Amino acid sequence: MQSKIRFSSVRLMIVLFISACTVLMLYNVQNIENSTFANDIAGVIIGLLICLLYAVPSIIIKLRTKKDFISFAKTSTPSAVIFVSSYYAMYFAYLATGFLIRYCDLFSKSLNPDANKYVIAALLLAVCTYAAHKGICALSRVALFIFVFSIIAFLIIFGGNISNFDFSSQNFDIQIDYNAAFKAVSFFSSISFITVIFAFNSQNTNKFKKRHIILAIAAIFVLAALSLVFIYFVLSGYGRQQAYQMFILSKTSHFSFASGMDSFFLAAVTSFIFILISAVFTSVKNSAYSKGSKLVLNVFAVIVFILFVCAQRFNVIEDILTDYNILNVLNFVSAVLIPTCYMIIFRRRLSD
Amino acid sequence: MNNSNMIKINALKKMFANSADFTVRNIELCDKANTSAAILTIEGMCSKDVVALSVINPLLLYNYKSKTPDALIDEIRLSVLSSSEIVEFNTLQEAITFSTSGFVVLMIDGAKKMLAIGAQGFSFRSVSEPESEVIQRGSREGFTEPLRINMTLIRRRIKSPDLVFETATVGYGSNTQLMLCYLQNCISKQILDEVRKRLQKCNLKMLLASGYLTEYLEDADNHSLFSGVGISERPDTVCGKLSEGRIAVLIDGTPAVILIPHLFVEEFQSIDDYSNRPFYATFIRVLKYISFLIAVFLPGLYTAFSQFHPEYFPTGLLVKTAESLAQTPLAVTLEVILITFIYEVMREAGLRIPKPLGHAVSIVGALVIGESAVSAGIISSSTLMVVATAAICSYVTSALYPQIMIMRFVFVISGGIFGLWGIVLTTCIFLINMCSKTSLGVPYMSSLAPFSFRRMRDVIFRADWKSLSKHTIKVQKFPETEEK
Repeated sequence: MQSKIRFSSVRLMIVLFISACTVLMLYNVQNIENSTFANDIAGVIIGLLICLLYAVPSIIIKLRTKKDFISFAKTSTPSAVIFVSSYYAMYFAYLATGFLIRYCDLFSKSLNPDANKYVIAALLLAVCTYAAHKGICALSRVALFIFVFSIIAFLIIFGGNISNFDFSSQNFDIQIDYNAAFKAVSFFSSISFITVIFAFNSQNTNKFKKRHIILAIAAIFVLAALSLVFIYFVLSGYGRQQAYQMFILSKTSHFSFASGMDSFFLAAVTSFIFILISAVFTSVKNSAYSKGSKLVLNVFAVIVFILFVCAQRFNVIEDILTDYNILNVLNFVSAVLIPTCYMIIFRRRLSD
Repeated sequence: MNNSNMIKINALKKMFANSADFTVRNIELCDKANTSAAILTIEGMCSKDVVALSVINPLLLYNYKSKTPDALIDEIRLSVLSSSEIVEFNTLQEAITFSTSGFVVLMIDGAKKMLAIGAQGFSFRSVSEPESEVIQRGSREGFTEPLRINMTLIRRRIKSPDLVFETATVGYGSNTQLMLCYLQNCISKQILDEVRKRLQKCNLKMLLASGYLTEYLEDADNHSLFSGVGISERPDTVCGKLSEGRIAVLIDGTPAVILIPHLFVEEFQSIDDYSNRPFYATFIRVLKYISFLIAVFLPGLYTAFSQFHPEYFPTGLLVKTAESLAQTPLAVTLEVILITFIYEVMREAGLRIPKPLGHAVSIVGALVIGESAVSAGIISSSTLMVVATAAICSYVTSALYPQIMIMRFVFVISGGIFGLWGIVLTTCIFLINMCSKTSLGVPYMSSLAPFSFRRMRDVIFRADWKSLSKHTIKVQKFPETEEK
């Protein structure tokens, strides 16, 4: 029996929102050296514009054909889609491993230094593989619970820090350091990977409207700006020099006698990374033909784990996998270049 | 008696392997040919008085006009017997089915047709309040074992021609009769066809309880702790569910009626909610959800926090917990597992042993676990309190007890090994499992995920009847219900 479940596109947006929140949770000033508030805000604004721009091809395909990009590619070039899928598999492996490495780094540096990264990665991948087997619809249902939890977590992290605001320590002069601004743009525009996830999972969504994805992206960047406000105006100079500022914000959060809300941070970031990697895995599953998708997914999870092990052994591999510039180039190719090529070549199918 | 009846009776006797309860009463009818007849019954299944007064007496006293055996059968059916339930049939297999269901089987020499005459008279438990679903207000009637009485209990509440009972037989060894019950103006044809199909595919040998059938009615590829099939022993609950487009499966010999599709949120609803004032019913609903979460998460979180994140305890509680834990020889995880395990053993023992001994088990349990184990320093008082609180909370939603118990153990183990991280990851696994589950194509977590704001008035909240009665809920209209 072929099931024909269609789910609300709003739920897919929630998946994308949560996936993007992972990037914010992993905000690390060490990646953006010498950055200032003005630089970071500029990075947020430009990142938002880039992300919106990257979403255009997949939105056009979805609105014109009622299909997502990969389904469009499968019907347009059934024999050549293997090459496209192979490229995207590489891209998704890069994306998943990159965020897995960042998450494990956060875990070992901030949450539990004694934790075994390999065990964490293996278990997380196993759970994400299981989730991906269940499909994007089930994942988007879980995302509803995690979304509610994320709101609570952000309210606690931000709300508990309101009394710690200190505007006097900041210099409000707008001096753009182009090198730092470039790094900030690179960091925040990396969020545009969500447009690729959208391009691979929007086939079965119904009532999709342009404003859904625009609002989702806008909400992500508003949250990013809010996070920056708290990072720059709550944390001291010393606090800002530490790794993973959102974690430090959760540590400094307090409500009268209750302090140290890092448990919420741990729970939130773990659930966010779960959604992100599961969404990536679901995209891989969707890119394969339905017959062998389960096997493809399992093999893909093993590849991601091998990449993760290699990254832990060789610093060069880790540097490549966690480089935001490479991720941005791949994002551009995956979200814009390939879909646009398809749209130009198969423009007749697009207008049918 | 001529050959025709003898052959049939001998064949039946052979089929029953000369079983002691298979009885044959031979009589001669008052017609011109003095035709012989046989009355077959299964002892204990029929009322002897009814057989004597309503079947044998009229048969012996009537002066028959018909000349052929088949015409005699028609004459008996139309003019002689006063029983309200008479069925004509032809095969020996049907004769077995009818006689084992408490019918009297009448055979006339030389006739192809046979008659089954309703004279059921077996003893059964009377209609009483179900112990597993006790309510404060409302009907005290619960289902009982005989199928026909259960049908009556439903029919008495829904006096409408839309209420349909559809008969089926499951179990090639037990030939258990069951009834599909639904409201034809509420049911989805797709769901009904799917249930029929699944019942046809059921290859059970014996069907002795509703639990046997539930797995056959679950959706395929839905391996989950949770069940997409509901059970109720209350006719009022079943009627309420029927009006929402569900199907009830009544099984002969069991008071537990199967309800499908079944959703997660239904576990937190009870018939009492609709009798109480809305604000109180809402409070009880919220209480149930919180109790469920406490029952599932509390021991796991306690284990994780005590072992990995003690800084999360408030200082006063931390000191007391640390003092208490320092005096015990076992690690917190093992301690929690041990107490939970002993508690489960006592609970199971309390359920199975005779009632008079049950008090002894409670006393021993309370003394051994509550007093001696703590004073001997084997377990800490804080751990005992956590497990006891979780245990009490798990009874608030008693229908989910098996699931809660398993999840609690899993959370204790994952929290004990990986701390809060393990609990978060395990929660993700359970959530994805529950959210991917469907019951006859309806998402199991429907109303919560996929979320429906409109349905919240009867999920977390309980709106007043004026508001509830404006919108009729049909289970097949729930969002993301699979079209197959």
